[in-house]
Amino acid sequence: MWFDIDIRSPLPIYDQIKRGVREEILKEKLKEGDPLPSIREMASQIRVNPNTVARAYRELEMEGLIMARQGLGYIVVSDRDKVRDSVFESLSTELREPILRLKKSGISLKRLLEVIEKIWKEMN
Amino acid sequence: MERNELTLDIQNLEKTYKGNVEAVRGIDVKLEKQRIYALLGPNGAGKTTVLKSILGLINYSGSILVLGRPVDEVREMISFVPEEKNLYENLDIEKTLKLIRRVSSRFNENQARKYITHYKLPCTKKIRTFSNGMKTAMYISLALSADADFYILDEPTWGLDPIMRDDTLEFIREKVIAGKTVLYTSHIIPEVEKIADEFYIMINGKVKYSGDLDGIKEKYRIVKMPFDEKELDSCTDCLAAAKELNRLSIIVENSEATERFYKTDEATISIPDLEEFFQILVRSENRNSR
Repeated sequence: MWFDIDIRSPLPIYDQIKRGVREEILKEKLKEGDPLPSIREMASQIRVNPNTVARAYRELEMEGLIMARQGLGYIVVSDRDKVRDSVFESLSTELREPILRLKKSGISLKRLLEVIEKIWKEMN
Repeated sequence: MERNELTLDIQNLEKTYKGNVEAVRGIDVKLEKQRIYALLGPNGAGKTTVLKSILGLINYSGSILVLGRPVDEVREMISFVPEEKNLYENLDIEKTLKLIRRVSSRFNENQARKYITHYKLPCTKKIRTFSNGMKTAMYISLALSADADFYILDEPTWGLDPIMRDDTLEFIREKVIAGKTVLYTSHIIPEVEKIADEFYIMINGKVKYSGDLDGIKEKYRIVKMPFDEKELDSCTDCLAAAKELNRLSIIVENSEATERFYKTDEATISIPDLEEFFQILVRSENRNSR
């Protein structure tokens, strides 16, 4: 498993790791019951410190996406649909800042929704 | 974690040099195993004095335990790269390796040769002829090949080109993945962002901030606005506030305190990166001490 970590991103690094794992589940590259790379393996693959990977894994476990099994490391215990909700939640907080800037510059909600709809449709 | 598991435990360290120069004014530092710590600060902040105290190279007041014991009992568990990368200038690499092999039992020569090959250092030229970057690379090759538990690195990337620097950071990271602890100092903040788990920012002999990068991103916001003396004086709930040319930059906790700036038209609010955070903190402190 590999994903890119952007040190300069405003998003905390452990959060980027969590997001990376979630996206692997969404893409079904990781399925229920699959093992995750060990903390050490993950650390050297994505070039972050073990301590940060450990934090990301701990939080994913608290969120019920993965589970530690004694001696076996972590396995995935969640499926695509459950993960989708938690992805939505974390992405929507990121929208706050740009929406706020739009609002400050006097853009109406109606116009914002039109733009969102346009971008959405362009992607299909 | 029990106290004796700390790799480094400094309590109330103070150091005054001759002529009443206070270099370090009472700091506490606690380093846990398997992490990378960066010690940051402007020139003269007291960083090197802290490192020298840890290594017992100077007298100090306060208590310092390394791996739970006085430094003299665990000296062979520490590997150190000093600020001055002085090697035996008249030896070449082969002779240097031979010398170290003879005096140190914890030296992994094969590992050192791998680093030396990676850095493409010439084995038969006298070290005297090396550039600053090559001397640093040589020192790193030797220091990281010592089988230690605690690596103390003072400016370990000094003089290295960007490629060598990045590779060196990854060599340091490998140590931590293998369970070791690293304390290092650097002037290059983006480098610290890349590799440190936690950092201590020292200014004028005191620790002004300690924590991790993710914590800064979550806990603080940076507000920038046109300079305004009144705003600067009224900033009592801010961590730091500094004048940068004609701009006022403020570090404020990401809470209700930030909300009032959201209402100000001229203010921009951003999530801090370490460079900005460091600069505002240092400038703010310089202003207060004047």
